[in-house]
Amino acid sequence: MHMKACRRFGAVFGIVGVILWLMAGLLSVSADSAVNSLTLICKTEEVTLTGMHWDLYRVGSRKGGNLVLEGDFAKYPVSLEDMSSSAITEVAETLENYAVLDKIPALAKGETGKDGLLKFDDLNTGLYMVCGKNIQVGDTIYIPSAILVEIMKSEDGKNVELEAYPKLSTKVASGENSKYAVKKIWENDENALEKRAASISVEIYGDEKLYETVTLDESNDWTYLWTAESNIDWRVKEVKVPENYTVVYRSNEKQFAIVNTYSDKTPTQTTISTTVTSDGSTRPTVINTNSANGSNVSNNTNTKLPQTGLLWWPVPVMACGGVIFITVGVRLKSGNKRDN
Amino acid sequence: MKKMHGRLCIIIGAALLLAALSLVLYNLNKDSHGGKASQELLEELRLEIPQISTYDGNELNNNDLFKEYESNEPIQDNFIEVNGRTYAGVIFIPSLQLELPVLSEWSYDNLDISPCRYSGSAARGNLIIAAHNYRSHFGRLQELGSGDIIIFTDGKGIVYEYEAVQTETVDGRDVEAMEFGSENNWDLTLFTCTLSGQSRVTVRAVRTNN
Repeated sequence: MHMKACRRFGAVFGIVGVILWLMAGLLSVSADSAVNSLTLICKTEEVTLTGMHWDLYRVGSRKGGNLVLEGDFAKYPVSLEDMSSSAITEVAETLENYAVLDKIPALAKGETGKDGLLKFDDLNTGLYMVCGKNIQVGDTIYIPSAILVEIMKSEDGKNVELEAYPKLSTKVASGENSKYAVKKIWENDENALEKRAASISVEIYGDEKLYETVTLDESNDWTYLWTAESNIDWRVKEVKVPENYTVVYRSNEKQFAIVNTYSDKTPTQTTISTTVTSDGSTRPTVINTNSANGSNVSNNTNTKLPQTGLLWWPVPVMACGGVIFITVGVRLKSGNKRDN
Repeated sequence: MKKMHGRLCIIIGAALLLAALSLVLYNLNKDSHGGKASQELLEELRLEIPQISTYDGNELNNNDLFKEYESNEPIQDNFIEVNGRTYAGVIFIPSLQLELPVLSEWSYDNLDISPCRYSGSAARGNLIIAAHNYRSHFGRLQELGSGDIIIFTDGKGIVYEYEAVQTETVDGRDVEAMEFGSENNWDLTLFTCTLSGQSRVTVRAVRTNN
């Protein structure tokens, strides 16, 4: 009896521990067969989200101790080197962007039930991503964040039933227009500015349909603004990520940042064994000069200020002189006449 | 003999008057030419400077995603090249009803047709602009009073608003006084020659928008 109670307590403690780990955003899970599961819990104190659609993707696996992207995701220049909590959130958002816009087929899909739960079964070891679709309840639109989950080989042979609470942000469904901005950010290339592309093309999608393609470059400060309906699910995608750069997509309610980080090696591996997160005519040429203090006097004379005056001073001198000479001349002539 | 001297004086006097008149006509012609040239450049430049649509990150209640990346951006002088000429931007002085292009580098050929950047940049808050004292350029600079607005738009369309604080006269050889000012680090300095050409009428201004 006492043993049973201990086991029950242990099981409950274990599950609570798993949930706490998930909520903290990071967890290592071990399992060894295709009977592992992941349950999404989409409810808050205020609302239970029924009918929220989720897609499950297998995005990578561990090779030689390092996580690598695989399958349809292997081609994307997304770095898994930094697996800190914030970096995992950014990677999840970036991979979700690719999955949605490139219409990558999901491994499994489903909707949350009346209890706000959705369970994915039969998961092998590997790195998975779950992405949800927005859902409107009353005047509120709930926006789920993508989650990355790694299921690792079990050491004790037991299967794991994971539970995850996706991060849900909200916005009010107004139907009004909002102003949106997408900005290109270059990072880690201060010493290799020549590697930057002169311009990049960015596709803007509204509810997964191509809305427009824009060019970002120096002339527009790598930024594009558009005004459109706020109820639409907006996404952006860089058409071609420059060579030797990785990409991360970040966004909030009205802003989209495309962060290209320079790296001179192929960035597909991680040596960190963290595994689960639930965080969720011609155009003008603009020339940039980067002198140290901007005081680069633009010509070569430093000893005297430029002569910026018209030659006015001789005018009164010559005019007065002329008048004086003429007056004297006239007097001399008239004096000569009197003498005669 | 007196008659001959008298005739000679009249001839010299007439020559001097003629020379003075010629110089006046030459200066007026240069002024007119400089004014026309700068207005033509301005027309070209206006077409090419992008109209920046202002995006207020404050709309996002301090959740400005782009803000955290701003410190990574090197300060850049946003020059713009149009038809082979490189411009720093456009200066507009409402109280003088004066709008002129500003070339990125000064030279005497450049000064003949447009005000020029002498040094610094608007982004760094130390821009100095020089121009001839044509009436169509900076010839009426001394009329600027404290509180007058000056607006500079750079090659990217970023608008910098300034307020004139003081007017001073700087010796034509005192480069240091021009560049660093007497007491303050001025955000914008405009200068042109006095009529004698020995000194520079200098307007100092501070930025009023961020």
